[in-house]
Amino acid sequence: MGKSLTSIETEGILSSGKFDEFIDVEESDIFEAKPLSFVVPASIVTDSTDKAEKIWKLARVIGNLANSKGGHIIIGLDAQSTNKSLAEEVTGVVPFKESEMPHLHHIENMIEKHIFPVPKLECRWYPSIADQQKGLGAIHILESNVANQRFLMMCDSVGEFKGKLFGIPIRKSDEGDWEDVSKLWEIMRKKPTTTDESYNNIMTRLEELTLVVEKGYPNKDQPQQSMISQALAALKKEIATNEQ
Amino acid sequence: MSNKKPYLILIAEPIPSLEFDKLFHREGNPVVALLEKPRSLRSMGWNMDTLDTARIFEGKGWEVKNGDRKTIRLYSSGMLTAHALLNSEFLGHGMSRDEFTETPIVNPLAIVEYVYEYMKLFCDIIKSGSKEYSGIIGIRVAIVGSNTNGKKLQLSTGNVFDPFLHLEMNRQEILEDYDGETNINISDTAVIDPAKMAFQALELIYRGAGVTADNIPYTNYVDTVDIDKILKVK
Repeated sequence: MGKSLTSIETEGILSSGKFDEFIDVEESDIFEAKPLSFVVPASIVTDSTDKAEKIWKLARVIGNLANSKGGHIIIGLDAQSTNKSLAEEVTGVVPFKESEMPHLHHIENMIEKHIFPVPKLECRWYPSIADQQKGLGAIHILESNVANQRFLMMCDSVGEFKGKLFGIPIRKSDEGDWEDVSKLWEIMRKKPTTTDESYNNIMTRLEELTLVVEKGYPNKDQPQQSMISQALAALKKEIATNEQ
Repeated sequence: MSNKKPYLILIAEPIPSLEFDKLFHREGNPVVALLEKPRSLRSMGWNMDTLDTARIFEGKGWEVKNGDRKTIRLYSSGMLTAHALLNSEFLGHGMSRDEFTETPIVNPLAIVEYVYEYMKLFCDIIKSGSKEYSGIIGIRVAIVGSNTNGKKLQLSTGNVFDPFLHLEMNRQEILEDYDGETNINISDTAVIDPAKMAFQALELIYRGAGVTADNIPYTNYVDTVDIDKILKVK
């Protein structure tokens, strides 16, 4: 089984330039290993649909880390599953020139159509200790400081879900997943605990989306508790009352 | 010492809601017919049959009940709730109240068959609608009053005729006031399988006693209730 790194250890290796220390590292809930082509889709595809799908995948990985506790996408690493572990492990380091690393605003422009709002990111290129002209890139996804903040992904015409859909990408161990519909519903019913104007804009957007989802939910005026939770609480109370 | 009776609560909520045609009419109402005469695996089994006439419950849906033993309610959204006694009066093991008081074990055949029959009723209700349904079924299970007469209610991993049923190694205590939840996706009503849905609910129930899914009796130990095993019991 590979080794896992903390955020501090990851940043330590990047700063030192000793990138061989990434070999055998396992992807985790905060660590993703990707080749350069993952953030520069134009370099390998010419088909616009395929390119759009790759950008959507980049947005999804950023989204599921942002909805977790933040994390790091290290660019210039090869990774694959080994017999020892289901999680992908770093098998190779492929450093590249600083000029090939997209700037932060390039990344943000690519993903802003797919994820709302765009999470706080930092993009950096780190030189290798062996060859200062080449190095690895990193997209650091910062943990949100807004309570209950969720980053939504739109899936209009690309990705796994083609159609007018949205979802909340989440992180489960070393892989991305999607928040359950029932949890999504509960999140939408909650109000944020912040006066941040940008977040209030998000909630306005969520309320618009809520109207679409609400058609499937019978008791839209019910407060925080879902119908099933209310039913369970009522039955427990009824049983307790009958026992007296 | 607590004299509370132990109950098993099952709730299935369809999201989005089911749509019924004239739900609060009695004549020709397939849902009322299902509640009053549910299909059963065995005539004298642990099933949804209450021998009751359905009545409108608090203006919200229909209810049938058999004393305190079992109560089933269908709400206008399609949510189906059922609560049943887990003691010697219904799902508990033992022939008498004293036997159950001494060693409160849930009858393994009873609970598996009952949960299966509940899911079958729920699936029949879904299929009784005129429209095809697809969505998510929220499942909630709860056990209340499991601390009964100073002893904790127990689940068994053996079958009902297991001579070692009463051995402690085959029994696990249920957590006090336990509840669990899961969601089941339904994309095609033609293929909804109550045996598989029942297994998921039983997995939650047995988890409350620390029992793994591959130890639930009267199942294939993987993903479904084994109806043949239930039918073979005489």
